[in-house]
Formats: sequence, structure tokens, C-alpha cells
Amino acid sequence: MGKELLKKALGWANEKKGSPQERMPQPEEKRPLSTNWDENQKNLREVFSQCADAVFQETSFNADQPLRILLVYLETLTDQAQISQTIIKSLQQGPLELPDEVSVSPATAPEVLQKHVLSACHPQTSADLLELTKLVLGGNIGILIEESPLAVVVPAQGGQARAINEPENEPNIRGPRDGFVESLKTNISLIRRRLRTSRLKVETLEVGLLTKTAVAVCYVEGLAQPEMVEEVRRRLRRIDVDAVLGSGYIEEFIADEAISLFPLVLTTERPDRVTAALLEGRVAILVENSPSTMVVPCTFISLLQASEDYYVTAPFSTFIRLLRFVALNIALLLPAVTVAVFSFHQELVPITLLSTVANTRQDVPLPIFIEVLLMEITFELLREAGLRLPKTIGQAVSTVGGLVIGQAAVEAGYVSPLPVIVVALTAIASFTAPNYIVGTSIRILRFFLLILAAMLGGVGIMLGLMAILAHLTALRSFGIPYLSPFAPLSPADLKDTFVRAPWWAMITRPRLDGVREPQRQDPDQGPQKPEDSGTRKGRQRS
Amino acid sequence: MTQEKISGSQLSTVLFILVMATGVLFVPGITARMALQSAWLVPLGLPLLTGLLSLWAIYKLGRRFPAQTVIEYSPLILGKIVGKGVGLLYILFFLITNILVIREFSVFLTFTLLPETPGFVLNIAVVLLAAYIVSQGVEVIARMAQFILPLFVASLSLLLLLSIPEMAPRRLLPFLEGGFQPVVKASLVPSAWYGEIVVLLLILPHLNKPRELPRKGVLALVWITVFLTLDILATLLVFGPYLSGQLTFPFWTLARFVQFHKSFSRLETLVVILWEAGMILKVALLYYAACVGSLQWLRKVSFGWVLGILGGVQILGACKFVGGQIQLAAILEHVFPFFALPFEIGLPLLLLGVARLSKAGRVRDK
Repeated sequence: MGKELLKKALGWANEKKGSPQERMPQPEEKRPLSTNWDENQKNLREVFSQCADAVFQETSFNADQPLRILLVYLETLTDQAQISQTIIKSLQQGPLELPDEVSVSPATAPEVLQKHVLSACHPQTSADLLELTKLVLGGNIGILIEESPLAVVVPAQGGQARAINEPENEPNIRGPRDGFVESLKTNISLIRRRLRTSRLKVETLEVGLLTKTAVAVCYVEGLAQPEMVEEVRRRLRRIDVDAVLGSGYIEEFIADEAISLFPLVLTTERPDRVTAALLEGRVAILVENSPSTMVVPCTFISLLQASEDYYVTAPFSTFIRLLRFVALNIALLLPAVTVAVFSFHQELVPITLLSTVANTRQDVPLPIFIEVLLMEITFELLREAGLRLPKTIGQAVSTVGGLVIGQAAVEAGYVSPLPVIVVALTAIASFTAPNYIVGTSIRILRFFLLILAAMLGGVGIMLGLMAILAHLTALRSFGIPYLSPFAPLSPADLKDTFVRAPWWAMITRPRLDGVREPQRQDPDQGPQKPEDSGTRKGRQRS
Repeated sequence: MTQEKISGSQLSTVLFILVMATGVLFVPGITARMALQSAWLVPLGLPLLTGLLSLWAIYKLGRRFPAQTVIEYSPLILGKIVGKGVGLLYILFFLITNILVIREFSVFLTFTLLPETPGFVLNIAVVLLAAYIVSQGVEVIARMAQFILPLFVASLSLLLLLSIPEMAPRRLLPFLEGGFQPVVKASLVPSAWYGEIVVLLLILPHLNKPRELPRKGVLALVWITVFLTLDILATLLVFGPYLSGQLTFPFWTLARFVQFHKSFSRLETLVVILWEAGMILKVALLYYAACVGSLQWLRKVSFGWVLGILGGVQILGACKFVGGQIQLAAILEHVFPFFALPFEIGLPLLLLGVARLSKAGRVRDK
């Protein structure tokens, strides 16, 4: 089949480079700490040699018999104030009150530190050099004690982080304004604040041999299908890469299809959106250092929905959704339809319009397909240029684009006004897509359809649309058909697609292949007009 | 591929589009030529009966051999050699029928929208697209049918509604001129169209609830009959029997003809483009049947090879062996029914009869 051929071709391009063991020498599993103070110190310094941000701070533990202590931490990842004010201070002060039977010796020191001296910092112990290294790299402070084979590890994560602010890509008018940031902990807390139930489960695992990126899988127990959660876990565990620098890395590994033009996971920076998805029985995947969070399974219609839809009134939200759908079709089809109509099916155009267009096109040298294509490419260039440039220069780009290219080209008679209008309308329509990624799919397909329209007119457009439809119906996201609830049809779920039913009517959750708690709320909660007699009675009673 | 499942309503949608996609265009002209003003009675008689009989035979065979296709169970019924032969014949039948459908597609589009486009371009385009759809499996075909059905039915209904002002009941008179004979004669071609539901022989194992087949199949046949009758009726009422018989695609001409308030006219382009979707799906479905059949007949061949080779054969066949519009019309009218009906109704009944006599397959206890 085509898919397999494609996979094969991609496989030839990057022949298998061998298993990870060959790719990167894996250190042996265990290297226990010894009781030899010098050896431990030397080993640890060796591990962190040439790491300018690794700090080795010697101090002493003030007990009956002072013990030498070595603090190891990365100053870039830790909270300096906490180290100097809490940890070092309490180490130098020594234990305030020790029970009589406990005496401080190298053998008991770790326990004393853990239970009596640093107990406020939730320390743990480690007996392994590699484990200790890993913990230190995670922003903990390693405390090496003289002659002791156990190191105490104190969490002291710190460092700079971006403050929570409104996600720029998904602005909102009503509803919450907070957006995910780079810190995984903060992101989980944003979800937890909205879902104060112990049924919200958060599982973390580590991906990336070098980056050791924490990835969290969130779901609501009892709503998400266990098989779905297991499938997410399985696909995440299967990933074996050096580095994960953003959720996009993970997305391509866990998607159902090798290559798809449409996003198979939903990415969002809005915690309210993720929470809503969790409540529908979906699974969220949060990636450390990435504000865009993934939600699976993803359906096509969810890419056309914005969280805003649920905060404004139901009729308005329905109107906006229909508008968005129209805009999607304009963005996809308008250039192609223009070319098809004006070069194949002129009979569809009213005669007055046709003569107007013909007049403006009299002195234009190029056929309409080339014109539209050139204007589309110009627009794509401008858009990309505006996106990558600093904001101040971006304005210059729009001036050049709008004024110089648009107006001047028309006035000079190189292009007719029609393609300019078409491209402008297409561009505006494409900006209404609430999801940036689906906008990019539409951009690619627009060119595909444009070329087909130039070759075969309306027939070509239909051929292209059927191919797109076949692709869309064949896609699945974590086993859920991409076009559900339309095909396969599940009528009850149509309440939240092109229309948005009022909240009191959203009685059932989406069917996502048999959710376990189908009912969301009590069915009879629709607002009711107070009956005349009823209110009077009520008044009398009060 | 066997774990792919389609639902009963998806199946009726698929059958409806399978028959109507081309039937709506070709049947009115051919029946009007033979039965004149009585043509609208044609689908109500023998063709519906053919469809029902074929459906019944397929259903009974399906009950005897659950989860098997005709390619797999015909050797069990007729013995290895003859059975294999029957399987091969069925594959050829789907292939040849599909070549005709592909040619219908390209002839129709060349005639209506793209007079200067050479037919082979359209043949290649539709086969490539169908190959892509087939590679995605029968589920995808069924779901696409669900998407296309509303568009298809809406365009048909719109045309029927808009043609009401142009209708003149006197064009149907005299009623049953010449008796039933012309009606029966004209039944042959539509019967062949109805009989195309024989693809069920290959997609039945995918139906998630096989017991639904009689209900959903009859539903599809009834709707096909309703729309085909209305279709013929509309062309007869607007153009009269003689003109309808002379037009190649009377219903398309109807689409050109009707208008609503002047500003809403020349609908044929939009309608043709919507019908094109149905035809693509029909090509894909027959292509799928041929592919699955060959795959089961040959065993141990990869799907990709079968898909590619059959695609090449169909392109070649459509480009080389079927001529232009006139030849195609002649084939459809004079050859196709005699070629197709044995496969559509003769062989299924024969297989069922032999299976009953020899007690092959699962005999249900009642």
C-alpha cells in the first residue's frame, strides 16, 4: 500500500543506525558510593568536571563531633537563597534537640540530617553516584557526608521561569486568561486548580536520553478509557530519542499516521481547554519546557472549536462556529473556485460581473491561474516574513506588501484586481481558524486544489476534495476516527459540533468509543419560566 | 482487512450511491427510447424484482457462509475447479463493469463540462483517486458515502422541485400505449443497474450485523426505485418521450433547463460536480470488489501489486476498448444487460440452489 511504500522510502533515506546502545554508550546501571570520603569527592568532581555552573561547597555539620560536608548543586537550577539561608545555616547550627539515644557518627549522620536537621526540606537519601548525579541535574542539592556511603538529597529547584500570562496564540474575551508556561509543575497546577478531584491522575515519565525531559500524562480516572491511557503510555515509552525540545517532537512520534497533512493531536496553551478535554474523557500530555500541551484523541471538529465558544451564549457560539466553517471553506476553495469558474465555467458568472472582470483583465498578460498562483505565493511570502521578523520591522513588511505589491501591481496592470481581492479574502478567512496548525494544513491543500482546478476546472476540484475526504475519513487519532461524530455518525454528539448546545443541554459526554460515565449532568436543568401561580405562592410563603 | 466493519445504514448508503451515481444519468434516456411515455413504470417492475431477488440470494448465501466472500465459498459449493472459475469470472465481471463505469464517468464529464479534455486524462485521474480510496479500505468508502449522500440527494431533489413548473402531465398520455411489452423490454437495462448491488457478495463479510441486510438492502432498493422513478418521470414530463429518448443525458439537460427566478439558473455545472463525487465512489467500490476478489483468489499476493495491476488494466481498458459516447451508449443498451445479469442474478441463484441441494455451508437450525 501507499503508506507502506512511503514508510519504506523514508526508511531508506535514514537507514537504521543501530540500537541505542550502539548509538550512545550507556553508563553502567549502578555505581554505589563508597565510604571513602576522598574517593567519593573525586568521583563526583569528575562527573561534573568542566561544568561551570556546578558548585562544590564545603562546610561542616556541627554536631558533637563535626563532620565534613560537601554540597553539590547546579547554581543555574537551584534557589540560591534557600541554600544559603536554610540548608547551610541549619547544617552549621547542627541538630537543635536530639533524642538521647541518637549520636552523630558517619553511619548515622544521613538519618540525623534527614529526620532532625533538614526535615523541613523533605530530603531523601541516595546510595548511588549515578542516581545522585541525576538528582543534582534535576535541581536538587546533593549533600555528601564524610565517611558515609549515603548522600542526602534536598530539593531546591529554582531559577528563572516565565510568569503565567495570556497565551498569545489563543486569546480570549470572556473566560480565564491564564496560559501554560514552560514549567511542568506550574502547568499541572493550572489544571489541578480547575479539577480539584483525586480522580485527576498525573503520571510522569522521562523521554530523551540527553534531555531527560519530563512528560506528564493527565487523565480523569473513570472518564478516560483505561485502554486509551495505556495506549498513550505505550506510545510514549516507545519513544527513544536523544532530545525532546518541545511537544512537537513527541507529537510526531505518537501520531497514528506516518505522514498526515492534518494534526492528529490537539495542541493548546489554554489550561481551561485542556481541562474541558479531560472532562470529555481525553488524555492530556504535558511536556516539560513546552507551553503547548497535547490532547488526544483529536477530532477534526475540535480543531475548529475555541474555548471561547463555551463562555459566550449558545446561539452566538453556534453562529461563530458556522462562520468559521464557511471561512474554512473559503480559505480552502476560493482561489481554486475562482480559477475554475473563470477559465472553465464562465456560464456560472452573471453576465454583468463577467464583463466587468473581462474589462479589468483586458491588458493583463497572464492567465488567471498564474495570476492567482503568483498572488498566493506573494501572500505566503509576506505572511512568513511578517511572522519571523521583529514586530517593529513587521509593520514595514505589511506596508510593502499591501501598498507596493498589491496596489502598484494592479495600477501598473501586471495583475488584475480580481486575484488580489480573492487572495485578500482567502487570507482573512484563513485567519479565523482557531488552531494555527489546521490553518497550515489548509494552506497546503489550497495550492493542491488550485493546481487541480487549473487542470480540470470544477471536476478537478471535486477530485481533490474526494481525495481529501478519503484522507480525512481514513485518519484516526488514538483509534478514534478523525471525522467522528460525522462519519461514523453519532447523532447525540452533534450537539457540540457546528452548533453548540446550551450547557444545560450538554447532558452526555461525547461518545469517544464508549465513555464509561456517559452522563455529565442531570437532564432536567433547563431554565424555566416561573409559573405565575408558582411565583405568587412563593412570594406569599416568604 | 477483514476486521473492518461497516454499519447497516452505511451499507444502504453505499448501495444507493452505487446504483444511482450513473443510473440517474443513463437510465432515463435508454428507458424512454424503448418504452416511450411508459418509461416511468419501468423501475417499479422487473428491475426492483431483480434487485430484491439478487439481495435475497446474496443474503441466503451470506447466512450459509458467514464471513466469506463469493470467491471463498464458490469452490466449496461447486467444487474446486468450477468454483475457482466462477470466482475468476466474478473478478472479471467487476473489472469489466468498472471499465464501463470509468468510461461513463469520462464520457459524461467530457460531454458536459470538459469538451476539450481528452478522455484518458479523466480515466487516469479517476482510477488514481479510486486506487487511493481503495487502499484506505471499505470503511473509508462507507464513511465517504455518508458524506456524499446528503449532497447527492439534495441536488436530485432540488432539480426535481425546480422542474415542476415545466411539467405537463399530458406528455405521459396515452397511458400504457402498446401494453406491457415495451415496459418489460425496457426493464432489461435498469435491471442490470439494480443488479450492481451484487458487490455485496464481496463486502458482506464487513457488515457488522449481517442480520440487518434484508432490512437495509430493501430500504436502499426502495429509495433507489423512488428516485429513479421520479427521475424518469421528471424528464418525461418536461421533455416528452421522444426528446427524452434522443438526449444522451436527459436529466443533465433538465438541469441545464430549469431555473428559478432567472438569477438562479445554469445549475448543471454544480450538479455535475456533485454527481461526479458519487461516480468516483462507485468506481472505488467496484475497484475494491475486484481487488479483494483477486486478493482472495490468488492468495499470497500483496495488496499493493493487485491494486496497481488492476488499476493499470482498468485505465488501459477504459482508454482502449471502449470508444466514444455513441459506442458506450450502444454497449450499455444492447450488450451490458446480457453480460451483467447472469452475474447479478443467475450465478447467485445457481450458487444458492446448488448449496441447498448439496447442503454445503452452515445449515441453520430453526
